[in-house]
Amino acid sequence: MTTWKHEDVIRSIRKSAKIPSTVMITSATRFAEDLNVDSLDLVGVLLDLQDMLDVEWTDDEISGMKSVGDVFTTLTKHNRIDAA
Amino acid sequence: MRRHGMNFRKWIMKRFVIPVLRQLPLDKAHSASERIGHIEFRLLPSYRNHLIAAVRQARLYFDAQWDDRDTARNLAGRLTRWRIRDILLDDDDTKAVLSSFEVRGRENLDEALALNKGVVLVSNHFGGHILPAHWMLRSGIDFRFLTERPRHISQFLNRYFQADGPNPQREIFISRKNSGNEGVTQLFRSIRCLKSRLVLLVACDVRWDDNQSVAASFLGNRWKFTPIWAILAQRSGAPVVPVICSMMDDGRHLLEFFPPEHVAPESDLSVLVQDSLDRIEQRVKCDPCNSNDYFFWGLDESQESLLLRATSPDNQEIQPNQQSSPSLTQPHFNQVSIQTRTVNAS
Repeated sequence: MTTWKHEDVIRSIRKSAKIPSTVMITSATRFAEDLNVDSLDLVGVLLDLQDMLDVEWTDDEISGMKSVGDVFTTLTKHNRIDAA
Repeated sequence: MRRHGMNFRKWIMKRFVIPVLRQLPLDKAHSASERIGHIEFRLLPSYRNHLIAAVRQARLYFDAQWDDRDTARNLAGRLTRWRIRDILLDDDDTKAVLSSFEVRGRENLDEALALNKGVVLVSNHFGGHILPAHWMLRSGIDFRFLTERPRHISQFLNRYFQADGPNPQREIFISRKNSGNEGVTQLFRSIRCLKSRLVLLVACDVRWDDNQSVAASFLGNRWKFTPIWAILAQRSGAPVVPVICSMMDDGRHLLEFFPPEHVAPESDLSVLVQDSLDRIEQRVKCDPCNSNDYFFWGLDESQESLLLRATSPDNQEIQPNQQSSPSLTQPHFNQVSIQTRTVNAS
């Protein structure tokens, strides 16, 4: 099973939500407050990650996705991302 | 719409009238319910005047030749029938229920289903908006409603709404009280339904106020509408099939499925929503008596209604665009048609 790096996930988030490269994204970055990502953008972000990483988000996981760190944590549980 | 003693009338209907209507054949029961509406129209002056005012406003907007009083009387009949919702279809006799529908364009739905991507069945509140559910369930077409949970419906539909299984309906219902990531979760559940090749029934004329809402014009006013049906089509690649269920004069229902369309991922949501509303508007102009709810939107000055209003970009009075308004039989989405895509794929 392919595992991905944090940089790959950040790159995907940046592309899906059209975040300029000048905006720093770390695990502490919050989608709504820091990136101004609304719920529709977040759907796009999560769908693109789902397709890229071949994961199936559960409802509880989606509900808890408030920050990039939450995505990392969930992907670690799915064994789809290298542990930092 | 104003209440006009609505609760008392509802009680009378539920307690005394509906049990009697249930004893009649479906078409006669529906026709009888319309006659009750005609009697109310004759006996209740404030109700009558309210309907006439609503019809007059719509007539002026369309520059139509309707007789306000006759149209309002017929609308009163349809309103009573509409308020009964699907209660009279609460019948175990599937054949009798199916025969109360005249279906046109079934092949359009079948064509969309054959693509195996699920189907976004785009409905509206024109005519009998809950009734397509009965036809589909009793025809063996599994579907989910993406809507707020409807109240005062048949036991038949209630049982379906409470059923277990994959993607259960009770988890698909949406709420205006949703907050945070609940809306995101809801969209994911809906996309899962489409990936499971289900039909997802979504109305395109739902006024909604959230950060995804788009402003669009309808019957001379600008409102905020949810574009959720278009978002789902964009994100899932599922074909869109518009459907209309009209109440016919003979007590039966006309269920029309229109040719499937593909919504391109990059399409402008505002344009898609406006196009879908323009189609309904054209239908309303041709058949005002099936416009059960729409004519009262503009007369509603409640706080709830005011929150759903959107301002016109140039504060101009909105007029129906006779030149560009599409016909329901002439889909005008600018994307590649499903038929073309299918041919290309093969």
